[in-house]
Amino acid sequence: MGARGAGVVGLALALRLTLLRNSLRSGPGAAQRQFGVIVGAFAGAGLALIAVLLLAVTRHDQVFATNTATVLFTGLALGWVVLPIITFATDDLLDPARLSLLPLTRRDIATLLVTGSLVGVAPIATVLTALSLVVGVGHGLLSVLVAMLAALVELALCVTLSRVVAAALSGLLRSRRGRDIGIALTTLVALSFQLLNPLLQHLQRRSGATSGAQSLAALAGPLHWTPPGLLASTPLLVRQGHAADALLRLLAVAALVACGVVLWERLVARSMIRVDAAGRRRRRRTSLSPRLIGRLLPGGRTGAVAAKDLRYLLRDPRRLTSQLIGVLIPSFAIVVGPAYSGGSRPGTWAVFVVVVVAGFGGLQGSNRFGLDGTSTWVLIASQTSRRDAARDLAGGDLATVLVIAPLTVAAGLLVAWLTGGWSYMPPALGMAAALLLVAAASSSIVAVQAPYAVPDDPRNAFSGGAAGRGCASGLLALALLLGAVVLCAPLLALLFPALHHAGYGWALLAIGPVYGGALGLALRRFAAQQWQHRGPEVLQTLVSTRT
Amino acid sequence: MDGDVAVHVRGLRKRFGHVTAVAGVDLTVPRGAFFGLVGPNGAGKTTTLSMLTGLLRPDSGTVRVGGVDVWSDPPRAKQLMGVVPEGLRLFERLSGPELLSFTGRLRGLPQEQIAGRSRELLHVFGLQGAGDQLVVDYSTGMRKKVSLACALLHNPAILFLDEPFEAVDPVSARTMRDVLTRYTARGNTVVFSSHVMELVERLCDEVAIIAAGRVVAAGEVGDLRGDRSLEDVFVDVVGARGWGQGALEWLGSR
Repeated sequence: MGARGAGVVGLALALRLTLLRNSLRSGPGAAQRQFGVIVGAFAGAGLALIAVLLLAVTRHDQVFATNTATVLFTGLALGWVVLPIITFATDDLLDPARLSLLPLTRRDIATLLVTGSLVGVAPIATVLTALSLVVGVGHGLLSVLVAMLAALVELALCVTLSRVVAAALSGLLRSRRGRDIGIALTTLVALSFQLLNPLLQHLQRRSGATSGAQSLAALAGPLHWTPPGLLASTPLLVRQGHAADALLRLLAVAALVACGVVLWERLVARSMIRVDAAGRRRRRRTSLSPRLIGRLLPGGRTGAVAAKDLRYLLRDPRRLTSQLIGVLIPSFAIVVGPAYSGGSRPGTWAVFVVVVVAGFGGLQGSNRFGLDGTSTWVLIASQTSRRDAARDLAGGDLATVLVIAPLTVAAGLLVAWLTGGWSYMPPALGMAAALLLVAAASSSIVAVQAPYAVPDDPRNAFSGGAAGRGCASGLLALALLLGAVVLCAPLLALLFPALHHAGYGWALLAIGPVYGGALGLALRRFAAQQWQHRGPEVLQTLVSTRT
Repeated sequence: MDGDVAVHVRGLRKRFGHVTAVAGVDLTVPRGAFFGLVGPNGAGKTTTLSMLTGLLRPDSGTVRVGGVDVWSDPPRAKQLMGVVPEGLRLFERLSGPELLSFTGRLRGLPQEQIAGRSRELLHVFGLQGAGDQLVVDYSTGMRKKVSLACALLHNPAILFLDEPFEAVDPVSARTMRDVLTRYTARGNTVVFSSHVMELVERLCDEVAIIAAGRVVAAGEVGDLRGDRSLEDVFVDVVGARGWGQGALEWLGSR
């Protein structure tokens, strides 16, 4: 049995290393896999380095170091809980059911899965990060020893948590809906970094904390009693002479891990024989929105394409991801970040964030055919006139405008409310409307000229397909945005006086949409001509670069 | 001039880089025929069908469908055709009824006609039970059926079907065959590709065998096969690959 166990460990190690090596190999989708592994490695190394440096620097202040460690330990555990949901489809050693046909005992499977999760970027980064506790708080043999033990128990806790989540949700995660949830979660995690800074500043202002240390203490306070918090506090307790208390905490968390392992083994056994969610037929309740969409839109081909795009936005997480990222990140980078960076109340000019939201929002259809993928053939096969081609593009643009226009207005209202910049709203919205309409029409030109495939099997929210093409197309879109800004330049004649006289502002609000609409129509005419002739070429690009 | 010919193909060629996928295909499909396109994997069936339906631009050659040149007047040709491609997706995050309604509106059909025909097609193909389940959650067989329903919705004169019976259960396959047989009996034409020789033998009036991008045999099914099975003819024409003496000796020995 021992020999067999060692054999399974060896097998798991070999399998994990082969998977890692294959993920770095060339082939379809290699670029994004390599990108993922490299980014993961850098992020892991970076996290560990930051943790060690942070705790080394704060070594003199044990309470501060312990608070830092508490936040880090909790963050690590949270990360491990989220990890299997995000990587379930791509990590072949997460799903117990994949092993169900092999002649392995339950213990073998458990060994295989645990070994699999102990090898890789994430576990190494976790151990290194957790060991920073030794650097920060460890002082004297006993507390160093306890810190090392705490680091090991933290790793065991993380891996167990992650395995329990993977096994408990394996049925759901194997299904299409589970993958969708994974993608949505990835987006949320990515966007949370953007939102983190304004949020922390807000919290700091509210809690009245004047220093970083106080904010950290406020954040760590409730986390001290979570299992990772208990672990992080042990070396400090030893140094304060409460070795028994520290040992008790270590034992308590270790017992929790043991319970987790037992639970996990049960879940694995269950998930091996249960019918998964993908196989079960589910009736999907159509929400009110699709009906509403149908009512609001024009009939015919334009309305059909627009309705399809809006439904996809609601049902395909990749679209939502790309739209959210495409709009929010530039908005934060260009306006919100700078507006908040001073620490004081952001200026009233921040209302012009609506122009950024509208401009980048208008470009969201730049790879509409790439997102539709090979299903674009349906449009091509049913195109029976130039007018049909124009309607395809108009439908896509209409969907963009219907999503981005309310978002723009909402962003404007929010920022005006926060900053008091109400007087800038009319000219800002007028400018935004013109730019949105011109950018949307420009995006149809890019969509026809430079489509690039997004992988059919959406396992990763950020899988850009042909990465080079995506980048080139992004640059093209950016160039077109600049072009759109230039095309809207005549409106600046109204914008500058509008900053001082409200009358000009209202005039801009009235003229902006008309100007943008007319220019957009002309641009779309050109795009439609291209679309009618380039249909097969666009499809061929999507078929041959499909991954 | 194309009065009795539904599909007329001459000198069709397509290369992808260094690989010649279709190396000069000539086909003549009579109006009202049930025409089978058979060939081993990678023979060029899908590439050929893509070029016939205006989805893939040929390097050279002409395709006339219903007397209309597909590559010089695509809009008119597309009005005549219904297509079920292989390897291309549908708009799968729509439900079955939504997909049909979408297709109908793309085809410019009136709303009542879309509703009536969709209901009938979903019923005939046994898809009404799927309700508002998204097509992405359909089984492969259900996808083939909804795909065929979409191709039939605008009542085209010529249907191009790439592997339409793949993964379809026997009951549904029977329904599909019945629908298509009735369709051709009314003077419409079906061109379809398949691996399943028995099916081709049973359904088709005419057949073309494609190998390595060329038509290696074509004609009426009866003439082509004589007193043998179509599968034997196919294996003969395409050339069966031997697997060598001595290989797999261990298999099954105790």
